[in-house]
Amino acid sequence: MSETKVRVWDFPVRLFHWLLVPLIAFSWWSAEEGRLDWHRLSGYAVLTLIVFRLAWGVVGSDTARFSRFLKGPRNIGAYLSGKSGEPRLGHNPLGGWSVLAMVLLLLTQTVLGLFAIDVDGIESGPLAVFVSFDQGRVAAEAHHLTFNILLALIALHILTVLFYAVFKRNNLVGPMITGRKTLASEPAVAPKMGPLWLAFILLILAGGLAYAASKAFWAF
Amino acid sequence: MQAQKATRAAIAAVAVLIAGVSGLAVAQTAPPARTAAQTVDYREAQFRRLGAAFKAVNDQTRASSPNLATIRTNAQTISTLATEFPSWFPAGSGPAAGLETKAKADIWTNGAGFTEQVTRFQTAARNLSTASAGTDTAAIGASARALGATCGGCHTAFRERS
Repeated sequence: MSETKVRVWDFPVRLFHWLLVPLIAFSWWSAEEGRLDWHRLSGYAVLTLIVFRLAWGVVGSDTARFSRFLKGPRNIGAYLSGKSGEPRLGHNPLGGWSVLAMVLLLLTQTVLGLFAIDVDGIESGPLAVFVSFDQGRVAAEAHHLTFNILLALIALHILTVLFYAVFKRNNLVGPMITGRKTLASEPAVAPKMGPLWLAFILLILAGGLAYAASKAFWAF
Repeated sequence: MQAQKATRAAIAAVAVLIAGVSGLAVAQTAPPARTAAQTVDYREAQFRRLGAAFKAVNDQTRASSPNLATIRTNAQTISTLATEFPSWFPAGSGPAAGLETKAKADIWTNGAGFTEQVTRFQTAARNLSTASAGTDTAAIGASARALGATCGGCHTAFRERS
């Protein structure tokens, strides 16, 4: 039995994941403290990451691609009953949907924030100029609600990782840090990693989009 | 001469008539008696109007080429609402009466402190109105920020955190 290390998470996916942790925490804190200037900046950063991740999920590394980790009910059933065969690399069929849910929720969260207006009509997202006060208030309330759903999903995410660590003796955190997973044997097919230059370009484009949104697309 | 006199008399008569009718109109639009719960609803509706008007001002002051007419109209709305503002808080319309409201009981128990904040707000509203009569967008922006600060100051002291 020769153990082998396989690259499973590319650098962009890991960076995306670990940048979200402090950014979400900071967004939460700055909102609670009423530091909306910082909250907006943090939101633009999250939006950049999310837009990047959506693009990377289409053209990025194998393990980052939605087409690869979003599976139908039969596959999920097989996974849950432990009949899925060879050890898998990347998201499992349930985790994949959880990733999509969190990414889409964060997208919803940030976009709602762009349109949100505070109760006094003072602080607002950059795109609130396109909506009425009442619509902006609805956006703000939804922004609040989706954050609570997000917190629930994050809690579920952390509990699942702990469950894998404790009951399945499967360390999921290590590979998300190092990018490498230790396997008992060489996998039949190692996941193909996307080029870093492509990730870099996508990140710049995503940042450009967030910047344009922060300027209300220069419409005013 | 005679014709001029007659015209003056006619104008005076019309003026008296208008004054009388508008007086009547004022009497008719005087706030109707509301239940305590309706008072809270009314107050919230007025605050929404205030928020909407202030949003309209802020949208413009942050724009690259502000629409001064929009600012003027909404600054006027804010100024008018600021004048009416104290009447939105009649005694018995607070949480002490068991009402669902974010207005703190301190508004009624610390009337002097509340009045001080309201006066600040009214002054800032007037200043914005004055500034918006001109075309100095920097001055308008500064007075809008000053107005926002009076909102925030009072809300910290007299409104429950949501």
